[in-house]
Amino acid sequence: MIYLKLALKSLRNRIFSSALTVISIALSVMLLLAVERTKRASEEGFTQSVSQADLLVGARTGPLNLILYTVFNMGSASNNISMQTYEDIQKNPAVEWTIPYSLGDGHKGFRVVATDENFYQHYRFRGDQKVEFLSGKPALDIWDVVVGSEVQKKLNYNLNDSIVIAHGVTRGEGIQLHDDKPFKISGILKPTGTAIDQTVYISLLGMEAIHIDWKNGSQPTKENSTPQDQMTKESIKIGQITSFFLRTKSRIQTLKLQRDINNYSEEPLMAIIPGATLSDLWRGLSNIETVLKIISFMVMIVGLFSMLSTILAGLNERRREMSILRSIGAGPLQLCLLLVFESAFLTFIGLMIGLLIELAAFFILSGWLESQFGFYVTGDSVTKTEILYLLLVFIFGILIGFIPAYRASRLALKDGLSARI
Amino acid sequence: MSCVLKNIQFSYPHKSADKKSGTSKIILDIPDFSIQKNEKVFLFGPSGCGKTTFLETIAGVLVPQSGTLSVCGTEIQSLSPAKRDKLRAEKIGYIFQNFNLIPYLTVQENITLPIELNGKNKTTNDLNLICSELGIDSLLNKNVTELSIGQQQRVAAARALLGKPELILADEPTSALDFDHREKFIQLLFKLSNKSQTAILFVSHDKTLEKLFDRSVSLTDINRVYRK
Repeated sequence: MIYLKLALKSLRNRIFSSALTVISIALSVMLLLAVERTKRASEEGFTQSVSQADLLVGARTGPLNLILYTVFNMGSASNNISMQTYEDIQKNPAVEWTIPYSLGDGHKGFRVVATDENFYQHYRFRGDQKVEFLSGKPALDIWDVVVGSEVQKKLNYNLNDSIVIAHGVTRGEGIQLHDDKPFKISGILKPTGTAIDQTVYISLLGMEAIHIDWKNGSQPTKENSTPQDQMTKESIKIGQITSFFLRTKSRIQTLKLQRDINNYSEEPLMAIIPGATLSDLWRGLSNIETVLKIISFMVMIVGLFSMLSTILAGLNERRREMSILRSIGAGPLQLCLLLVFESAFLTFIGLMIGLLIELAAFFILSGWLESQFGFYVTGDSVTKTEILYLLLVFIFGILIGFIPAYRASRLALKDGLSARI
Repeated sequence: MSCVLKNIQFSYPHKSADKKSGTSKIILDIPDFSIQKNEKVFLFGPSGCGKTTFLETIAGVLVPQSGTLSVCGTEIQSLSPAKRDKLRAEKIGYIFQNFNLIPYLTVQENITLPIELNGKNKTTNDLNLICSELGIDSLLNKNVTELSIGQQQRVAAARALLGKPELILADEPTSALDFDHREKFIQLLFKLSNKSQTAILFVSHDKTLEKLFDRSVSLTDINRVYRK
């Protein structure tokens, strides 16, 4: 244990340069871990924009297109599904629940999604997260509207405010407005970090109601449009929806049901597994993470080389120390171990501090990241990948220690005995 | 016998040899030299005559090209480097010109370091005895960097003496001291080394110290290189 004592005392004697080495390792490790964690969180946030839904069904189009317009409010639907078909599939004994989506309108640059109570009850994201209300209640009545948290923030809405839906998906103000039939805000959603935040939700009835009397895509004139107060839930018949999510009673039935829907004879339909398509989409988008990862690896390597140079430079100053040790009975092997231990020790401390900073930073900043960037730090804080990285860095740190160790063991004993500097 | 040299010849390997001639110049050529147990020998010679080389040969740091060298009854040339290291660490104490203390250890840690490195048991009694004789017992927990030159030297002496070596090699250890302190230091060294029957080979160019020793040897006299 005398060598352990020597190593620690020697490091303490050179506390400044040792600390610099540890800090440079810690910072590189922290960066590496933070990039990994960010990558993981954004991947999870992205691929779990919708979870627990086994199938997403829409009119026949590309799978990416279907995902983009249903989950991310991007692009537009090619066609709709008739209510009859929806109800038919809903009745399938393998189906546990469905969430219908009717799209196509907007509100001041935000998309409007018409849905029903199933959305508030069954929609899940990031594992088991439900859609929750900051205030108010679901939009179940014809003229109810629920706004996502970002919509509320940006447009500064309050409960019971009256808003007007624009016809068509628009950027900014709409051209054709459903201003004869204003909606009333019945609820405001909590932030979710998904596209839900940028969405305005109305009921399927509401969607149908604002389009009653429209002929071939043109607005009815004042005289032949049904007044808002004459419409009741009973008088409105929903004709079609755009797409729907579906949950099977047992996961085993998913593939069969998907095939059945794809072969549905009454209407051309397409069913996709949202999780799989989201993962595909993510893979296409994740180049930036690879780049980040490469950069953080480079930083790590620079950190380790700075450790190497600190130790090697220190060794030159410590030539005498090494020779003295050698002359009073420490063998070359022991000196070698002493230096390997030293760099292993510095690496280990650096790793631990880096890990600690990373964990603490995410712990402290997670609230801020959520509220400012809608970035949710989810999942385990340390995964196998991270442990593997840490282990690799540690092994590399030990290996680096062999370079000064080899040089020290080659230092002639003569240096110590003849007392020349 | 603490050490016996017979027909020793030593020259530095080609690499560091006289570059002009390209051949290795013989530095040491000593037909016969020995030190008795507990004998105090004074070795002097002008600068550059090979005093340090001579000490390093006895310590087994340098290996002579020919001749036999036995230290404490062991023929040193035939040993492996590792065994030579062990023998040196156990049987030979060394006091250096500039003391070679480890700056980040305390006085006590410096003194006991060789013993711990060699895996021997610490002997607190010996430590206290030697340190009180040398007058450094009150400094044990201080850092060596806080000490004066004279104190540092006594620490170095304590380190060499604690292992009870059979031979202490001292390479100009008093050159940093004034005359009064030199004599006192040498007398103290003798007093302590007599207890453990340790022989001393004391190298200096300062002939005024000669009278304190049992025997005085001039390296230029015993080294045949200088007899031509």
